[in-house]
Amino acid sequence: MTPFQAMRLRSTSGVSTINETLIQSTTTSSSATSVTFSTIPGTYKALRLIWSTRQATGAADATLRLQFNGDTGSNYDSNRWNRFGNTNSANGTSASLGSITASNAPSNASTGGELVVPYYASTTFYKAGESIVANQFDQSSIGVIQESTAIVWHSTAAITQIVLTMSNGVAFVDGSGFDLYGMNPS
Amino acid sequence: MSLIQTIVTAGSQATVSFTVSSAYKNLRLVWTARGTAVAGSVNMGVQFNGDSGSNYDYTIWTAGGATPQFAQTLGLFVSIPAASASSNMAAAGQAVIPSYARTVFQKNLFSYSNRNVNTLVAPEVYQGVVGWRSTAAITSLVLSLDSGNFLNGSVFSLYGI
Repeated sequence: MTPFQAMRLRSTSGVSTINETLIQSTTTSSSATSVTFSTIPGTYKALRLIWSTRQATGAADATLRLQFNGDTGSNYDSNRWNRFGNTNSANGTSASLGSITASNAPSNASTGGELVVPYYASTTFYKAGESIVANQFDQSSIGVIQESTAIVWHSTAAITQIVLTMSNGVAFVDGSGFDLYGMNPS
Repeated sequence: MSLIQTIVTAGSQATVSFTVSSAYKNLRLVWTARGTAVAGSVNMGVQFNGDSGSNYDYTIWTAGGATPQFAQTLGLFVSIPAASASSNMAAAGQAVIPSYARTVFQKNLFSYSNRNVNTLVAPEVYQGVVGWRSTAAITSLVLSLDSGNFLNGSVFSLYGI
């Protein structure tokens, strides 16, 4: 069990209690190709992002991508793994948060996932986070794919903005949900 | 995050049931549980909205690998110790159901948990995912096992977030 998973368990297992406050909720419309959370306050210990989405037109294994604070430089590392193996990406221009159900998947199938970023407002270390997703790839062969991804952003800046896109640039299906929470111990 | 309900099992319950409103964005389920079947471990699963049809796809992934299952009547997502496991061992974990009240997509559940069945073996990480072939808003969850009942004192808490 990774430290992030342990943190998630501790948050609700009775060892300690974490208050989660909804910072912003977005439901996509008009074939949006990006989702932006801006002016994220630095008043929490950790961020949690939860999503439910699908590619509007892509037929390939695209991933949800993330950039912090408008940083488009080669400052992101990702390591995504599932039951088929793992995929490393060092010094990329965005971080992967896991695969997203393609448009040729069964009707209405989708991907749900979450990302946790501890101490996002601290300025001591590079930022690190971990995501987990359930991707309804198909309903006859591959099935529901579980993925975990570790990400690192090469910056000590406090995170104030998150931008999400698809790796293949396609739109999110209208009605996709993205919810950003701030977490503090009670 | 709001606690919707905590259930501590009693009377050898075969199921644990929650009713939920649409007041939240996402759901989080947390458990510490053990089964009564004469086995080292059993699997725990979920049905939504009383749907007992063949509408659940799932994969449980651990160090031993994963085999996806299709069109099942119960969405299994975690293994928990049972009667043949070492005394007092239980599995602890949590699951998230994103956008449970939105009606655009079929619903997903993803979970992560530990399981330890023997004091001589290190704990194992289990990660389970379930796809429910329905776009309906989730209004109820029923948890059950693929064999036996929940050991009395198993605890389940459902949160709205």
